[in-house]
Amino acid sequence: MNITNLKLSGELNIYAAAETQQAVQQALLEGGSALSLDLSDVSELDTAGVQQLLLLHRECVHSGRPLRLAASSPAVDETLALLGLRKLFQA
Amino acid sequence: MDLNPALDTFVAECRELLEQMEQSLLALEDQPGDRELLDAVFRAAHTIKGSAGMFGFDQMVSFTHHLENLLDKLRAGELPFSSSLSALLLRSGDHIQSMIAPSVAEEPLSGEVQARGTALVAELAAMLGGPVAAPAGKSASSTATSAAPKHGSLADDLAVFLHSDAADESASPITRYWRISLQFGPDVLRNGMDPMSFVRYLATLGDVHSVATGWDRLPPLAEMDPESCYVDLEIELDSSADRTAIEAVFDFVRDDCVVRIAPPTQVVDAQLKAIDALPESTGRLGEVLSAVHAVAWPELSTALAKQASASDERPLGQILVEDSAVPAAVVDAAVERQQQSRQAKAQDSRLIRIDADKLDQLINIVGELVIAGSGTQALAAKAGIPDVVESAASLLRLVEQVRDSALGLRMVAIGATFQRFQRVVRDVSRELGKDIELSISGAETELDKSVVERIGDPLMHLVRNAMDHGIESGMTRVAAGKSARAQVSLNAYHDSGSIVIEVGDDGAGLNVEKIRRKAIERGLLAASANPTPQEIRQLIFEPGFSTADAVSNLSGRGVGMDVVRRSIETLRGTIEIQSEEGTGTTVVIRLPLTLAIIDGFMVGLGAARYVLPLDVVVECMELSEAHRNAVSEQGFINVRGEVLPVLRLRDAFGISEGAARRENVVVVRFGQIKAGLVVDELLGELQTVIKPLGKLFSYLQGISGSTILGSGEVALILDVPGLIKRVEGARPTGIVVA
Repeated sequence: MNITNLKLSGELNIYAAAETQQAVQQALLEGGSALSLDLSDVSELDTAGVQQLLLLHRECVHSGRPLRLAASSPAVDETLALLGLRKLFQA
Repeated sequence: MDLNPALDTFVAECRELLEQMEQSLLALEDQPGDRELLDAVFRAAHTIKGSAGMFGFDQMVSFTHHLENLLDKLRAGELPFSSSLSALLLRSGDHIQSMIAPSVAEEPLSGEVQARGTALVAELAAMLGGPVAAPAGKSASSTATSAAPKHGSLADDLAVFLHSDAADESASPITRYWRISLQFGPDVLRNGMDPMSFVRYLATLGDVHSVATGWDRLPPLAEMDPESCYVDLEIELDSSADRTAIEAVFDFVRDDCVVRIAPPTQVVDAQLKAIDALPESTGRLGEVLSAVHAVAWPELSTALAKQASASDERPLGQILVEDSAVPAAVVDAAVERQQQSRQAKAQDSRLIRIDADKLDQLINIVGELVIAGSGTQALAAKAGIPDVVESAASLLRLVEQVRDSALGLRMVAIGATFQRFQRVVRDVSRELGKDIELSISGAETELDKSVVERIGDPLMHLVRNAMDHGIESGMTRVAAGKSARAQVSLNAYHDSGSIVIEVGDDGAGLNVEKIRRKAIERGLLAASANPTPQEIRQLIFEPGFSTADAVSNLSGRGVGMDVVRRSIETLRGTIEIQSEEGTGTTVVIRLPLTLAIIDGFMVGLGAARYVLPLDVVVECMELSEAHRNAVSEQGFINVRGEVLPVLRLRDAFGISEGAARRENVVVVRFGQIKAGLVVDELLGELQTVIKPLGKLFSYLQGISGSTILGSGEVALILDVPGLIKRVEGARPTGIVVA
């Protein structure tokens, strides 16, 4: 099984949004049959960052590839909980 | 005095409002939690302040303002309603009353009134500053509401509703949350705002129950601008904050975000209640909705702007329901309310105030019309032309209708007079330390305005008397097996052309033996006399029967029952006392319905004409030879087994000329007593305008007034109660009629 690993780190906010989008796009283009997301080094996550995660999720669903959140950080957990998105990234 | 009519209206309205306020306050003492009553008090004060402001009566405005502040606190539930508070409010009402006259006359307030005002303001302020709920009490909502433009009393109302509802509410959990839908515009992120921060901020207003993030609007990867915002949030919030407070959270993103806030059902219910409780003057839909916080001001102005734009043709209510998630039920209730207040306004304007003088003038002219009509009919009958007779008859029928309508204008319900006694009973019962309740019945009974105006004082005396002397102390009552709470009752009803007013109490009743001794002592009764108990009771209306230390320790107030009787008699009425020892006393006042025009029955004595009020006539009969002898010998007549005292009017008025061949008897009834009056001729019914006799004739017995007949002759109106008393008096006391 060909799993694409995507590790995002640092501040996932509006200032880094363009960069993040590129990384997401890159990961999707790699063509792995599944995606594993590592967010353990994310120190900040805002709505702009969340939008990138949602984008990734949607593209994975569309292309039939499972997406797994392999590791997260307290900042990520807090934001996902706040926005009611925890379940989306747990499966 | 050249008072401008608007001022007259102001004075009349103020008095009415103060009366309403007083009644509501008294009712509140019985039902302290009644919201409608409290609102009524507030409305009255508010309207007085508003009207006084229009005329620039600053002192009234500023005093009423203090009063209003206190009422506001009461309405917000921050102060409990207590009897001391009620007493203060009642006194404040009295103070406003005392400011009306000087204000209107543009005179400075007297020192006394001013001092009282200052003292009352201090008391009001003390109440306000006293047990005010700590501002921290409603932590979550108050911090947010302070940001709202107007932290009005209604916001507090709603908070109160919410708190009270929350306590007993748990049945339908789905409806407990505010549902907030946020659809963010693309520039939100770029403008430095993060949708998440709103969720965090909402958490300070209450418990964020759930958040759902919607990303349906995320564009395809290639088209996505990483710095634009595409998400929606759907938030369920459990909070007691009001709509304005929640709305205020989104003030900063208003231009960039579509906000829809749907209240929980309990808030909807509270809003529906609040709409019902609004003052009737609240007119426009937006005003109604924002007054109950069903819509916040920014939402409303957006909706109004939409409505004003040509592209949107939906009515305001629909815009609010569809775009701002204002519950349809609330909008419907508000629309209904709006219609109601329009109707109420329409009804208001159907009442007109008329100068009493104009009305009196109308009645006078109608009186002349009645006389002229009778004259015409008499002439027509004399001429014997059938067409003319018929025309005169229909004319007279119309005149009768005009008379009845005109008199109807003067009729007012006695209820307003009765209601005033609520306060009297309350105050006096406290003063006396007795627990007394006033019950009123027959408040809708109508009687002539001039009678109503003059009945107040005698009634006041009787009611005070009943409370002071009729009703025993609480302990005595309990010992006698009665309820500790005593009853004083005011009752009114119509009875054969009179209005009867009863002042009753369930007190100790009159002690006949005591009155008898007193009367003998005062020389009002011969020691040898043997009167009936009823006759003895009536003695308390005698002038010589001093009020001091009589019967049940009547305190000398300087006015006795004889004064009451005299004032009733000047109204052509009678007064009677019924009492049973141990169970109570009832004073029965019988008054004529009107003082102006009566249906009369004309009789002839020799050449002279006399008129009896038709209401008192029971029947007429010819006096047979046998009866004639009985009348002259005994003064009684036997009518089908009933023995009636009889008065020969010829003898009574000393008429000797033209002795009639035949005589007739008119049987009259007044109250419970029937009597026969012997006259020469029976001349039939007619309408009579009563003209009072001049002062010169006021000593005349048996005559109550005069009238002018159609022929221009003068006829005297017989005073039937007076005549009946005369035949009764003629009977030697103690002889039992049987």
